[in-house]
Amino acid sequence: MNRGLKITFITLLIVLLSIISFAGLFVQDTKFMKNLLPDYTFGMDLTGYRTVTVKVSDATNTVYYDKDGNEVDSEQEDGTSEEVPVNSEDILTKDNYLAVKKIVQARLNDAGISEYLVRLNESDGTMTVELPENDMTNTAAQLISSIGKFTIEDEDGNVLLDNSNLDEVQVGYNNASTSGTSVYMSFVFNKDSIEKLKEISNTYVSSTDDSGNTVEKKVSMKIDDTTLLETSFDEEISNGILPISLGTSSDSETLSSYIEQASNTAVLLNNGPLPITYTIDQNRYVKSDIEITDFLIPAIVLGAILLIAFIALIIKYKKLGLLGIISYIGYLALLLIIIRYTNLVITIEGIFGVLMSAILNYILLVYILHSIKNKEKDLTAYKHAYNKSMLSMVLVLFPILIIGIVLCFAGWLPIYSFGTIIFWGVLIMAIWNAFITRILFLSTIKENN
Amino acid sequence: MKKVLYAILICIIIAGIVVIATIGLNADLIYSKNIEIDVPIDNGYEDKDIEAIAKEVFGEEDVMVQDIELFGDLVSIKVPDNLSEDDLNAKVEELNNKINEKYSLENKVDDIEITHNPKIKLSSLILPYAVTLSISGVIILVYVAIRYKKLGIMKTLITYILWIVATELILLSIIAITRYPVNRIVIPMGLLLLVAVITILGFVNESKLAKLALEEDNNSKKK
Repeated sequence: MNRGLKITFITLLIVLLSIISFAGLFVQDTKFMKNLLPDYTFGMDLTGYRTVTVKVSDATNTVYYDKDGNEVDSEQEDGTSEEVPVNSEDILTKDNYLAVKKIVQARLNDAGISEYLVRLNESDGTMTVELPENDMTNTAAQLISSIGKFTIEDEDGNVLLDNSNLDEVQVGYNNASTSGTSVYMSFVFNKDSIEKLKEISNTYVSSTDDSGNTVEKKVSMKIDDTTLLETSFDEEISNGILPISLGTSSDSETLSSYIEQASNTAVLLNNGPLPITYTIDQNRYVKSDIEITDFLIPAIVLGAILLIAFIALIIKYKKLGLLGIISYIGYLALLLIIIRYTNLVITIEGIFGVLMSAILNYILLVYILHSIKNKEKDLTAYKHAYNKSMLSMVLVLFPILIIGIVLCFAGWLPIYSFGTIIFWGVLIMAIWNAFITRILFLSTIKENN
Repeated sequence: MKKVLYAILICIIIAGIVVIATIGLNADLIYSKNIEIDVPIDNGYEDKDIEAIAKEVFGEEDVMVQDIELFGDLVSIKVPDNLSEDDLNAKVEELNNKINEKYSLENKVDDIEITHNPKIKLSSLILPYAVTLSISGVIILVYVAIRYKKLGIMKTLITYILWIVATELILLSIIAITRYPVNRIVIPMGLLLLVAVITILGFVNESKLAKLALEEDNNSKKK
């Protein structure tokens, strides 16, 4: 291809890329124009968040006594009753409030809530959690306020096993069934409770009495006093693992709901019960205090700095400087398109990631231009200088790429946002400048020669 | 000159450590203990007007106004929690009167909800970064030890650790000494600084390597 034509073609390609990235790619969609490019996704610091405030419950339970003072299930004639607080005075301590905070944080982490802020009033136990508004928010709100009390009880309400016997709850599924996939939870009991479970599984069974009637001794599995299931055992459980099937289905939506239900239960039980009973006091959406207009002044300042930097490039490197600017704009446009297409959540840290990528790319450009300066006459020396400076810059940026890659694995959204943007920023920078900028510069040198 | 500069930087770090150890960092309103005052305004409102009223009533520059839910009929005003209950009640009444006057409302003080928000521990904000950045740090140190082994492994490692720790400490010290509020951009600023330091150190070491290679080349030619 003619070298001038090559430069024009790449320049037009960059212009097109920039228009798509900065302005959008619109098509007619019924009455309206629709942007084919996905929208940017912003984090809770830039959009808003749900605040869930939980307070120590001041509810009471009515306890009934018969005339002899024995505790009974319901009100009796000549009996008495007493209002007993669900939280006794002796458990309302700072240590317990801190324990609640720790359990809630562990639950949110296990549930994959990628960003949250917890405020705890250590004097009265009130806790406010700020959560991102998404599909998981309601689940998270439940995880914050639920006690997570697990019991296996007999028909008289006697507790046979509870949280202290439980080691962990696992969620699994298999495709063995012809009717679809089965989702199940495995309640793994600790070593000390294996014998107890074995005994229960041998006691609570269906049997036939002397008259030939079926007698079924059942147990109830309860979470927060809500019965999950009532069952008797078909076979002895000697390995300490109690599998509970949630259902079988071939419908993906139903399966997802089973898995979600099982996972939430696992998260709730795997981190132990809250030592205090809480109630939800507030659950509402709060818009971010950061408005788009807040970015106006910083954007103008940065734009002005960039403009000065561009002018400096043109003054110092003339035509190559101009082509460098074109390449630079193309790089930024591509980075922003990739951020959109990879559905990266942009947080304040993410914005700094974009800023950092932009600065690094400018440094790289100046470094290359500086290295190839005065080598325009000798094509081999020019190519050598370009490759050498490019390699050197890649080696300099390699640690930044490492940071990007490691932070990409972080479960904390602000870190992930920064890491992912830095990762894409450095990766695109290396590829873009190794090909596009190189072709632009090389074609110009060849044309001049 | 270099020694003077280093001495100043060491003084800044020491002063910063003393300030952090004694007074602590100055947390921004969003992270510190604050009072949230929720006012219903059915007629619609402008955030900046509410902010101006709140600043006037509470005599504070540090005021945060946020919309609650998406209906535009409930506004949250956050101010620092440094008032006694009596003073707060008086200020809330004044705030209510001014908002009623501005928006022709007949709200009563009882319609306003007041919440005392506890502070967020700054350590809980920093901890997730500390873990992931430490892992990155170890990998980076392994990389630089291999890449710049000709410059001396120990020397390179110490230089990297010292520079990274020192620059972050200087930033932290400046924030502590100047009482700059620790807000949402402080951590990203730290990240930016970290990337900048690693890049600069990379440039310095790459140029040292190039110089070394040139010297070796010249020596071999002489031989």
